[in-house]
Amino acid sequence: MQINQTKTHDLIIIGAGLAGLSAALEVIEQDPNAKVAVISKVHPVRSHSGAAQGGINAAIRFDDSWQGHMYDTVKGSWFLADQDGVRVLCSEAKDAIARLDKYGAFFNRNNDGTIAQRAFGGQSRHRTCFVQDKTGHNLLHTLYEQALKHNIQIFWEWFVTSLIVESGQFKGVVAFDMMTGETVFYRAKAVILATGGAGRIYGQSSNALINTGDGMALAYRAGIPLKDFEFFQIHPTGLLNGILITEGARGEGGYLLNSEGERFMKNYAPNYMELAPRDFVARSIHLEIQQGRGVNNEYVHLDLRHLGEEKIKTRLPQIREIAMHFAGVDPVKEPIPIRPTVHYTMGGVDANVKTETLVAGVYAAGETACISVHGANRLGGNSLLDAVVFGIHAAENSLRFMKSNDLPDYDKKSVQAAENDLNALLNRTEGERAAPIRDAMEKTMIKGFSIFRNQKLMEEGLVNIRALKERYKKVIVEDKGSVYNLDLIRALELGNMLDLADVIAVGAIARKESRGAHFREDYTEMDNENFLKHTIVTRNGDGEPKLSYKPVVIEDIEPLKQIKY
Amino acid sequence: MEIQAHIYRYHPEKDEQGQVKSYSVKMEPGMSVLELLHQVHAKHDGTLAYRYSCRGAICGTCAVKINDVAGLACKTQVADVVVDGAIKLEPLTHLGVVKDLVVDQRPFWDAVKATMPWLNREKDIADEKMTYEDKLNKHQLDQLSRSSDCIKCASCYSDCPKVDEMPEFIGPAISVQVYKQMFDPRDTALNTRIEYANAECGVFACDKHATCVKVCPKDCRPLRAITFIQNKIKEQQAV
Ligand SMILES: Cc1cc2nc3c(=O)[nH]c(=O)nc-3n(C[C@H](O)[C@H](O)[C@H](O)COP(=O)(O)OP(=O)(O)OC[C@H]3O[C@@H](n4cnc5c(N)ncnc54)[C@H](O)[C@@H]3O)c2cc1C
Ligand code: FES
Repeated sequence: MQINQTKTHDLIIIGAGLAGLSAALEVIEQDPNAKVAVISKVHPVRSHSGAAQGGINAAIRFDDSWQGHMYDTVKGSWFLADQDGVRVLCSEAKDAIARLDKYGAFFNRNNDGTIAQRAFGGQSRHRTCFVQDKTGHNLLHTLYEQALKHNIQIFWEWFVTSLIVESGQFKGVVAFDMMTGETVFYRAKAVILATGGAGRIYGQSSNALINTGDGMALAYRAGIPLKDFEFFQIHPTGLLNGILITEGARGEGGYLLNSEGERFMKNYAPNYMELAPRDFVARSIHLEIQQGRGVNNEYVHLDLRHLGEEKIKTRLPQIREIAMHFAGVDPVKEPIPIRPTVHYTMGGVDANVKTETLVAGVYAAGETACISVHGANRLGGNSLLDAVVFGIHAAENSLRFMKSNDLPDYDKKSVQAAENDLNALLNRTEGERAAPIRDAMEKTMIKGFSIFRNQKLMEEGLVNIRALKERYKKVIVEDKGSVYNLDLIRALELGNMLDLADVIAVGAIARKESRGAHFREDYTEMDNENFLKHTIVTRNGDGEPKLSYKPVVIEDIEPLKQIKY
Repeated sequence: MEIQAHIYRYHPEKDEQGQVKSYSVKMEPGMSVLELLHQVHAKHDGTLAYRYSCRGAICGTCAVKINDVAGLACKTQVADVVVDGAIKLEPLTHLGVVKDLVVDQRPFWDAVKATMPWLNREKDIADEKMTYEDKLNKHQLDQLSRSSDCIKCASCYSDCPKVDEMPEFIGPAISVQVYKQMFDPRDTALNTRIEYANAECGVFACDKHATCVKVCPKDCRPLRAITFIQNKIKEQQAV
């Protein structure tokens, strides 16, 4: 592949999910002449945001307040979220919903015509707005329609391979057209990373197969630190193949039952029962199975039957469809077999409340960013909100940056280096293919770094990951062509995931406490004295992860010493 | 159990024309067609190209022809479609083949854009209070929800017999998109929408084969949307 073309824009947005499209629309609404382009490795509506089911949070009812939403979010984060970020998230939520409503989203309504809200885990109020159980699908299509209305330039099925950063200054990105192999240097003043999550590192995951953490890896390799990357949310209710059953199913009143037919959550979180935060529920399910009360020793049941056919069909139609097609059970008649599945990347590109990163001109928003508004555990319904709210902020801040900065000169050598890396991979003829390395990575991560962690397993895991990174240096791509080279894409994605797996391992081993999604059998308590701080991992000159920490922003919510639900 | 997967292969940089190649694949319990493709790609031939994203039947990326009928690879269980120990996989029809199972979706998306698929409202503000029930009848409302479920997989467009005859026919998926805007009580661009749908290759060109209803993986019932649009146009013309 050869870079023989340069395209110039003011702003590049990588990613066309909820975060990327929200950003693009805000840019175009503020400045219709802005030279902005969106690049996405799939068509916008194929982005993972479309899979979100349950809903999006906002305190909009008369008996609710954004402060209440903020308190629940901070507590749910195990106090690791930065309170300046959470303040923005929650206080701007109502406007975000109004904006989506204006764009034409089909929010479910109450009889009086106001927007309906359902219960979600860890929330003290009914605060989750929804479009049946297809919220993400509807919002993503609605934003895409708006993007068409505004003629936003979208390069879809273009794969970004690197960020060009020279001595701390952003210069552009390198990407290739998956349809033709044409490789282009996109010069720009600024970039917004909106590339979504990295759940695929674990294989067993609710995430789309394209959620390979590319944006995080791009930033990491360009010298931008990753924050709190050891925190991966495990969702309590996945089908056995990982496909998600929304928390909305419990929000509507679904029960979790063990093999004895007991609502076992009463033994773990008697006040919140099935709607305790996700990490609590996921661990409880895991323990039930471990202690022999799993159905077939493998899973527990999510029982919706008592909700009745009518409610299941009108409020949870997609859940019914998913259960029927992917698990072969009709929830109207039978309980659904479920077990925990890796779900959400709380950590990500280290960004402040203005979505700025260490490198001027590089912004990050949505699941790829870590502002941090989710801390050690994200509450359901907060991430679509995160994507919309901070997508808008990234747009505002990058617009300001674009206006006050000129297009910087760049050194051809750094673009050449990106091209060389790509060709080295493509032209290698001896070595092994990506698939077995990927399988081994997934197994290692599930074993060492998922629901229960301990020093020994994690150290073994790290050794394995390092060995896999060595093997990856000799990975080969069988397809040498330029047109829709899936083999190349999968190899590039694996390279990204391996770098990130290393970062997870280093952060997790060093965090000798239990907090939210990071639960250690050898340090079972939360330790505010030593670990109420953000993990920061930066890539050093030799490509090794370097660990440091950063204080948590605490405003008026005092961290508790213990968390009970 | 070993089965034979007969897969259409075409590499534009190497092949003059496409051909079917066969791979023997171990069928695991619960295996989807998409998982079968992953297996062929990982174990037999790394040059195979196909599309996917969510693997949960919600993004519309993975539609291919499975034993001559369009459907989602991720949602279709291999066991349900194996005939005499074999399964046939080909690219969608009516969209040019780019490589193997990957088709050119650009014309399809251009057609979506041509419908002006965004909400047009008088005042560009959010609704404080909004009900659908008093503005649409039960069937129209049900169809609105089905139309907004469309994942744009293009299965219906691929298998529509009318498109064989009349390539300019807008087809079922685009009609579903038109329905979504035309029957949205908030939308104020009814005349433009009618003009678009009423064109020569618009909804009245439909021959009611109902193939779209059968192949739609989300039960969007495109033919019903087409019929409702036709009725609405007739109603408006009568006024
Ligand atoms: C099954 C499921 C259900 C969920 N339900 C909910 C819910 O009910 N409520 C809630 O709040 N949250 C939910 N979430 C989480 C939420 O959906 C995501 O966090 C959110 O959609 C992320 O949006 P995003 O815009 O950051 O990223 P995404 O929507 O993942 O978009 C990422 C974009 O980046 C692009 N991209 C990535 N890499 C590259 C590259 N190398 N080159 C070019 N482009 C690239 C992709 O093409 C894509 O367009 C759910 C998640 C899952 C897995
Ligand atoms: S991969 Fe998304 S619909 Fe099949």
